[in-house]
Amino acid sequence: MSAELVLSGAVFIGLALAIPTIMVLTAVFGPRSGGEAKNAPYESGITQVVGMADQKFSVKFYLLAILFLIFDIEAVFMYPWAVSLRELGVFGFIEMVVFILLLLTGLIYILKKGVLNWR
Amino acid sequence: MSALDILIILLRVAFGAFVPLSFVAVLVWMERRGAAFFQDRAGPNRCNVYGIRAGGLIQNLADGIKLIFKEDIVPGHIQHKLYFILAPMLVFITALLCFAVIPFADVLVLGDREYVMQAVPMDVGILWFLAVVGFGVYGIILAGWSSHNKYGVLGGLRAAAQVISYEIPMGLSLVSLLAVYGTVDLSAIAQYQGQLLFGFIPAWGFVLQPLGVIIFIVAAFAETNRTPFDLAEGESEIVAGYHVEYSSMKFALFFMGEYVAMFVSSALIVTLYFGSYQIPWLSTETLVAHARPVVILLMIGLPVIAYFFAGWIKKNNRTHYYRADDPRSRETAIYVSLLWSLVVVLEVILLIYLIFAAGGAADRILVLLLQIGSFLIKTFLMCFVYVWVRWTLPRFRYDQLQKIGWEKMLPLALLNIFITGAIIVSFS
Repeated sequence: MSAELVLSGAVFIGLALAIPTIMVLTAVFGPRSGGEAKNAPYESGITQVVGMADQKFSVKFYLLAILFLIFDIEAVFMYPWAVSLRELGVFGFIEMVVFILLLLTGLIYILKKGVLNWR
Repeated sequence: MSALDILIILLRVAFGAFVPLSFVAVLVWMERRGAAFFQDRAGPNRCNVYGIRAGGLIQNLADGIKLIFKEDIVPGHIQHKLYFILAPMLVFITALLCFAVIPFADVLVLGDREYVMQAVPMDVGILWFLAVVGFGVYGIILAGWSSHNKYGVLGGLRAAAQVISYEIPMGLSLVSLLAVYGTVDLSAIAQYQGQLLFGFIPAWGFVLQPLGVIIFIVAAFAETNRTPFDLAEGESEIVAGYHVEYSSMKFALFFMGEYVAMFVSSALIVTLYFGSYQIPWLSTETLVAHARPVVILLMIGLPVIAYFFAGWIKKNNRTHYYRADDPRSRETAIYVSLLWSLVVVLEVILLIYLIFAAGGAADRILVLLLQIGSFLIKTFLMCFVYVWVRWTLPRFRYDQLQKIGWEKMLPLALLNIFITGAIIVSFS
């Protein structure tokens, strides 16, 4: 790594980390007043809290996260392939078509199983 | 490193950090006035400082000051206060860090040194962008979860699911683009787009990847949680989603983060598909070689543009008010005189350049400034597309959103890779 890259990276990341500290301003200038209503979860004006935040949520979200992992790793494999496609030629292209077809079959299976059916 | 090196590094970093920030104000203004324009009303136009309203921009200043003087509330039911405070910072920081790799002008050659015009001159641009964008999800889901509010949790979950779903079509549409350009370096991608196809069409990304550009733009809208994909904060269903418990500057950071993300993804769309900083048909070499004619054209063009702009200002600002001494009645005169004095200053600078400095480093710096202008104008127009879409299209339902992502965009992106790959392999 060159010194140029290190210096610019350090200054930029430092700035990006420093700017959000303007959040402190409102703690200094803002008024302070407590109150029971302010300490309760926001409920669109209903004073009694209905339902808990730590309730169960749909299993679809977990399935989606796993699917994301599979297809994102697929994409990660494709970046080096894409950049060097011209050198790889026809053989590399056919290899990738086979790889994509395998994953496409998986996607079709997932869709047929109704995993992404949100009703 | 010489002093010049350090100066240029600092200027680059300052540009990369403060241009997105100053664009936040412009974008908020554009959003409001754009909304007003699409809904046939006036929008914010009352706030003024001694009669100067700047077309409504002063409203942003007033809102910023209001947010600073709000009470800093951390509701009592929140158990993880650290995460609660960390979440808006994370959203903002990740949005800003993405801009580090966007090139805003061509490589500046001064003497025997070459300066890559990115805030941080990394040659793995797109990979950095994808990695940092992925981090943004943590901020959102942390905000939703630590709010300990059922709307917050639902909003955070929805946002996370949506962002990761659309990251796949986004990544895959990039694959075919990278196959065309043959590099992941955004600077090299921008230089590639300075070429001409068949001698007369600029080789911009959207010409080379007509399907990819549509997939990428749609995915970028979903990534930034903008309408029609703003399910995460759908006010008709879950109030405000993940930032329901936030107020004052903590809310402002989410707000700024959203607009910085919008600016950065516009900049990336421009960089990848709309020729980055390139001025159509005028490559960097052409501009440097013909710096004098360009300057003379600018010197003629500036007063003409200023004349029409001044006419537009006069047409759109009222001059008569009920109170005779209303400070706003002087506004138009102030704008017009400011505009003309700016033109005079620029003309003098250009004249000095023509007489004394033409040739050598000054040419290159001039071209650099022109390209920065071109880049900012293109990004501004792309941001307007974001506003345009927001006030034109209604919000999707959540199952429709996931259906589009997985059943339409993912196969389309794979098809795009297949077609692009086949064309590249058969022609090389």
